[in-house]
Order: sequence, then structure tokens, then C-alpha cells
Amino acid sequence: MTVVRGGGLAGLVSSTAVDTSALASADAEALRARVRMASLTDAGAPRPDREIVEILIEDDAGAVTTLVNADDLAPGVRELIEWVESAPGRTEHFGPPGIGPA
Amino acid sequence: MVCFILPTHILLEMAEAGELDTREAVEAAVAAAGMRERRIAVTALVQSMGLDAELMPMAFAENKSVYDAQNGALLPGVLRRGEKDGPHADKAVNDAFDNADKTYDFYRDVLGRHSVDDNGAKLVSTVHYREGYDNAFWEGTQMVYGDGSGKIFKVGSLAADTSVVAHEITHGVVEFTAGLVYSKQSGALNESWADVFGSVIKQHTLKQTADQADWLLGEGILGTQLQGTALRSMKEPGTAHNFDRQPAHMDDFVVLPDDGNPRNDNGGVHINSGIPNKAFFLVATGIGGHSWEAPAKIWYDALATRLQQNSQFKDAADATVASAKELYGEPEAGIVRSAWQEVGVL
Ligand SMILES: [Zn+2]
Repeated sequence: MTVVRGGGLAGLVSSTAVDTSALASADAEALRARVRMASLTDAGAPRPDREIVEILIEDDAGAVTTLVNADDLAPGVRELIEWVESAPGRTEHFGPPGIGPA
Repeated sequence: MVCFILPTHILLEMAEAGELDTREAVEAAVAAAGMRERRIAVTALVQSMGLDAELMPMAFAENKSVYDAQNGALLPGVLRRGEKDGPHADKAVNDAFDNADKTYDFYRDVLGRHSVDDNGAKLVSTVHYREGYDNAFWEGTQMVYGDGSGKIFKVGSLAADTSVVAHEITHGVVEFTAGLVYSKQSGALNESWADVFGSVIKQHTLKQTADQADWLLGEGILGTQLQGTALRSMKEPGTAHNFDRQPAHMDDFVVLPDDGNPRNDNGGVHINSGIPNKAFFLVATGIGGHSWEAPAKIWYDALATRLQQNSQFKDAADATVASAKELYGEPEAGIVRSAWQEVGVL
């Protein structure tokens, strides 16, 4: 599962990835459902220096992606992002827009 | 209290006839004058009646306030400092207040603009937004500052930097003027105008000439994950830090889709802004002296009277050349034209 942040005052891109393969299948399905729910919140028209967050889950069942406005997150989605960005064993990358994290 | 629906001229006639308290009449008249033109007419009338300027109500008065989100996401948060309050114990509060003050004063004293909407709108700032948040933005009605995590931005650096604060407030000014759509070229123009006034207002605060200025946005605010001197350089786009890929010429324009993907920066708005940024630097150094004089006045006139929501780089070049010609004459217009030619737009 990967959280990608982009835009903002700097326009730079950061990504945080955690390996969710160790999750029990029930937990994994709950995670996917939560990401699908998040996609219901529309990121809306682009506004200056706002951060956009992409949440991506890839597993054997395929990939689920959603885009959300970092400043307008439903509580469940915020928890999910915070969980990824503070998870032990996470990998973080950082890079310029267009190219993205190395 | 006087009914606000009464037309201005009736209120003033009533005041003259002694049927109303003059102060009450003036307040009601100004409150009723929603449009700038009407408000100016009211001001002239009030002055013609020989009233003391002190009697003028607060419609024009500077009104800044700073709130504290207490590391949460609720806006505006808890009020920490109002317009008439002295400094607060929290440095972030005073930083946001002082830089908003410098920006407000610049727009009023140099460009004759009263706040973001030119109608004296309250300038509200919130500091300590979320925890270690690496961003600052114009929210649509107010400014918002994160503390910075130390990774992308140094802790406490965003509200403390005059160019960052002036950049964000200028996004508000852009919204109330040309309304440049935040996507691809029009979005890069939106970014560039915010950078231009971010740098110019910093120069105005430091009383620097165009030659003395560093032309950097966010000098010294970078955290440990970035190596460099600043967020952006208008003098040498693409050189501010290790991930800075701003072009300084149309030959190096970066084509990106505006597809909502966080990797694509709304179609490269923070990348391609390097091109108009460089054009302004060339104009300011070409004309010489203080950038807040002719160069900033030309750029502001173009923004307020010529640019439109979907303006592209070529439109911005034409607009600034036209503004230079109208406000100053052919020598200045020639310098503006050459600058846009040098960056490959004309
Ligand atoms: Zn911006």
C-alpha cells in the first residue's frame, strides 16, 4: 500500500509505502473497502498550493487507487494515511514533479 | 441605527439637514456602498462635507487576525492575536501577523489595493495547522500555515518567511482579479504572479534594489530532505535545490497532464512558472532600481485589468507589454518585450 503526496507550495512529490501482504485476508479486504470509500470524496477543482494525496493498494486481487484532497479528508481516510506514514518498516521516497520519487 | 437600504445621497442629505448624526450617516452610507466605485464616491462626498477622516468607519481599515489550529485541522482555530493586540507569546503567531502586515501595507501603499478583494477584507491567518505539516496555502478565505516537519521545510519557517506569506496572500489577490485557472499555463502564471509579489514584497521590506535582491522564494527554509538555498530562484530557475527542475526558457517547457495525479502538479504549475518568473527578473533588472516601482506596477496592472482565467504565457507577455506602454511608454514596453523574447515566449 502506497501513499503519494504531491502539489503544495513546493510542488514536490513524496511517497510512503508499506507492505500489507502480512495482513490477514479479512483485514486486507477492510483496507480495500476503506480506500474505495475514500474515492467518494471528490478532490474538486484544483486550488493553489493544495496537496493532493493518492492512495494505492496493490495485491493479488488487483490495484485500487483513490485521489483525495489532503485538506479535506474523511476521518477514516486520515487515519489510514497516518497509519501508512507512521508504520514500522515503511519506505519513503521523495522527488520532483513529473518524474516523481526515485 | 440607520437603515442601510437608504440610498447614499439621501443619507448624506439627511446628515446635512441635521436629521441624522453625521457619523451614523457616514457609516450607513459606506456600508451600503458595496461597489468600489460607489465607495470612492461616498469617500469624496464625506470629505466634501468637511468631516474628520477619523469619523470614517472601518470599511477600509486594515483588519488582521491570527488563529491557532493547535495542531488540528479545524479552521480557523482559536484566536491568538487581533488587529489592535500587541505581540503574542507564540512566535509563529507574530510571524504570520507581521508578514501579513508587510504584505497588506505593500498592496495598499504601493499599489493602492485594500486587501485581497480591494474592499478591505479581513486578513485571517491560521498557524500550527496539523502536526509537522509541510505546507502553506491560501484556503479561499484565509491563509493556513503548517509548522513544517523539518524534512521538507524547517520547523517554524513557513509563516516566518515574508516571501512565502506574500506568495500565499497574492494567490488571494489573483483569485479576486484575473482568477487564473490553476492548471497548466494559466496555473503557472498564477504561481508566477504569486512568486513575483512574494519576492517584490520581500525586497520592499528590505529596501533592496533589483540588483541587490536575492530573487529567491523561501530562502533558508528547506528541511533535511532537500539540498539547496531556497524553494525557487527567479534569477536562475532550476538551481534552488536538488529537485528543482524549473525551466527558464520555452525550449525547456515541461509538458505534464493535469489529471489530478499528485505527481503531475496540476500540469506543472510549480515547474513552468520558472519561465514567467525569469521574464519578470529580466524586466526588473532591465529597468533597474526598485522592483516595486515600474516593474511591479506593470505586472499588477496586467493582472488586475488584462489577464483572464484562461490566459496563457503569450497572453501574459502581450498584457504586460500593453500595461508597460500605457503606464510608462515605449522604452519600458521595449524592455518587457525583450524579456519575454529572451525566455522564448515572444
Ligand atoms: Zn503557490
